[in-house]
Amino acid sequence: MKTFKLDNEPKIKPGFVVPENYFENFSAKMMKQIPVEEPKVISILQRRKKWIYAAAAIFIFALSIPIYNNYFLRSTEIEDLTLENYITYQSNLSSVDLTNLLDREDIKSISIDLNIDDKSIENELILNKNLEQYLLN
Amino acid sequence: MQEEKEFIQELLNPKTQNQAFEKLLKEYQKPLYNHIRNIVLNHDDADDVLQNTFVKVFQYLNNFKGESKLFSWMYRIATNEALTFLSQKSKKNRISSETLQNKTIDNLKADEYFDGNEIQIKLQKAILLLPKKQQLVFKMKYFEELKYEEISEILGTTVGALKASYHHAVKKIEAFVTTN
Repeated sequence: MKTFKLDNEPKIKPGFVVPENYFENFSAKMMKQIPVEEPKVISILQRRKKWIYAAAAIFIFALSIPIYNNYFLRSTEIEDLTLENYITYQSNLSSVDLTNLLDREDIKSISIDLNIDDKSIENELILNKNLEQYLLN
Repeated sequence: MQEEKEFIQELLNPKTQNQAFEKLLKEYQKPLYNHIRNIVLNHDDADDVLQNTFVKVFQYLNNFKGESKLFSWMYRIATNEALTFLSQKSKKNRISSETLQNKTIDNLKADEYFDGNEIQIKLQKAILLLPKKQQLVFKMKYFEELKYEEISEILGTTVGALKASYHHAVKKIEAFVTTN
């Protein structure tokens, strides 16, 4: 068997060929693919981006104030008037029931010192014509 | 080296870029095509990889530090692109890279862009049996006739190691061709 020696043989070429005008066309094709650098155009919108974001932030903040007031600052305690109305119109509690709930201290604290002097009482008794009727009743 | 620096500046300058790139294409498209074709074997694949290579060269030119020569930097990109292409193609076809290359060699006879005979096909089959690095070294030295110093700069291997690698490759190829 003859021993094959690369150096003894004529140079073996890879045997690859290319289509006709391949390299000429390749150059043209590549030149179209390479992007030509253009000066960057910055739009007005982009330039004022910071200010637009700031204005938007302020606008959203302003909108949120009423929401904050309505939802977060609303007291969890029931207003006196609401409570009074509820007791007057919705409740089954009678005035006797309410009175029973009060102890001596409560009565003392809600009693009103009218501080009417005797003279005023006298005047009232003289001027009020219906008084006799009230007394009779 | 100074000339190369000036050429790189021309490539980076928008005013001279087009002309410089055209020059770069004219000078390097053929050797880079041959290098890629020797790796991927098929013309259409080589065309795709060559395009990707030039796109990457253009894209990363800004990052080119000039530590190596433009020539070896471009060869390195081409080699990486070709090897990545092969591994992606074999993954896509769910076969090993070797099986894919074997199939391509078997189809060479029918390839309209292959003008070779039995000995060339036998040589390709013998190369395929070599380890990956030896394949590259053999192709670059034997087919592309690059100097060891140039291959060393491209592959980042010492000249001594390259010489040993080429010597082993030749021995294995000769043994394969003799027995087959």
